[in-house]
Amino acid sequence: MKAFDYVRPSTLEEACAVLADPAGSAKALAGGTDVLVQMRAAGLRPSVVVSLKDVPGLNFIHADDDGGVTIGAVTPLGAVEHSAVIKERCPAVAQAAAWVGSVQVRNRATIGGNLCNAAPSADTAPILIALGAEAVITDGREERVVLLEEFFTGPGQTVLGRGELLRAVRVPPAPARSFATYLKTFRSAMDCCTVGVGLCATFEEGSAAIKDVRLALGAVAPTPMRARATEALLAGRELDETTIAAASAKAVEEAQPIDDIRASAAYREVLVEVMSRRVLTAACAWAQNGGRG
Amino acid sequence: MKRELHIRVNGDEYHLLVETHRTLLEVIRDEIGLTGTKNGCGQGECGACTVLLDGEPVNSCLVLAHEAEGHDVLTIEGLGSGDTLHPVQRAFVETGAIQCGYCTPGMVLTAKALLDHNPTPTRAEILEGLKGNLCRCTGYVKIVEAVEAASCLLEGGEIE
Repeated sequence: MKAFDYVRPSTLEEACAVLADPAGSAKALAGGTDVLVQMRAAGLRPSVVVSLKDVPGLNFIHADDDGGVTIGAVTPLGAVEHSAVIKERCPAVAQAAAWVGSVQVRNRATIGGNLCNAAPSADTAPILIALGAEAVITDGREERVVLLEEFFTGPGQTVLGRGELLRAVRVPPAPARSFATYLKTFRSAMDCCTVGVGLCATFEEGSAAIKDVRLALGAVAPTPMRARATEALLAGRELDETTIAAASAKAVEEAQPIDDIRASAAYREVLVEVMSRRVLTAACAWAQNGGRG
Repeated sequence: MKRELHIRVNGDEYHLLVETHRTLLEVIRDEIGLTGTKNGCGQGECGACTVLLDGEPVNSCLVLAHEAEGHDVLTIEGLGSGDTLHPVQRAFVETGAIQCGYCTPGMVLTAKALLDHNPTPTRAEILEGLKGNLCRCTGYVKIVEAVEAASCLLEGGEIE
């Protein structure tokens, strides 16, 4: 690895000040499992690496009073995976975290790093988008909040400006009678997902009629994306085989996959159809079972 | 740029002056001289560089040395004591879970951490737990058997 300066600030303000320096090309370092690989192999050459290790208030999982959960950006994915609060309030997020890399990777990789790295295939993104999560962004002095679905602007690109850091991710409370799940396909151990699908469906009382739904797709567009046309098709409809088939076909229309080393665009389209059908079928079974299992 | 680094490796305190772009793997091997930890892919895929950081497995090739400041590192050299093998090491030897040996230090440390959390893992749990450690010799069968044998040893039993 090429040499670089390394600073380890002890406050958020200090960290953001270094990141804001217009003269340098500073890079924030959380777990390092993406940043170090990019510095070694992908030509990332920051002038200074800003370690977040000693910055307090970034590594936490908080059970919010409203029933939601706030997760500090530098919380390791392993902690997210095993958190009792997350498993109780938004278990699909724990599942998505558990699917990232290996135990070794999850002990270092952080939820904020997974999001800020902004890979179209980031495992935590589709389910967090489906759940309506928000990104809490700070410049060291003031905070702003953006919906996570608006956080990504392109591959490796986010709305974070120079000198800004993602401080936390806030997952709102799950609505009553809602079902959420994340599903992904991958070729083998340690592989990034070829397609990821996150779903949060809210049902009318005592039926399989959809009141509200968010479907988010990963690895099929420049950024993790909401399948809005599919959601519109589903809204207000009874979730049955015909609706599920129509919705899954609509999701394929919306996805914009590309050919890459992991899969062809054509294969990804098939996967979008299959996986959308699977998550919607699971939601349907859950609703028909009176909101259980 | 060099910077002071204080870390504990296998119970020994080290006060070193280390360049800020060095990885924990490089410091363990080149500065401290413990070469049991292996350099494999350098991308966090193969697990040959696995060490335990505060008891949890990490890829030391993806940890900047200075990020381990003030923390406890356990390498394969610190696992047994003297000539006495740790039960996981003994299980790997007696089961024949070693061929070329390059993946073995990482495999043993990951297995140790797995068994610390889950003393009697299922086969599926062993495979999931060792997902980040690649072996290109054994086909993994003997390695899974070794982890099962280690579990048995740690639970007070003997290797069959």
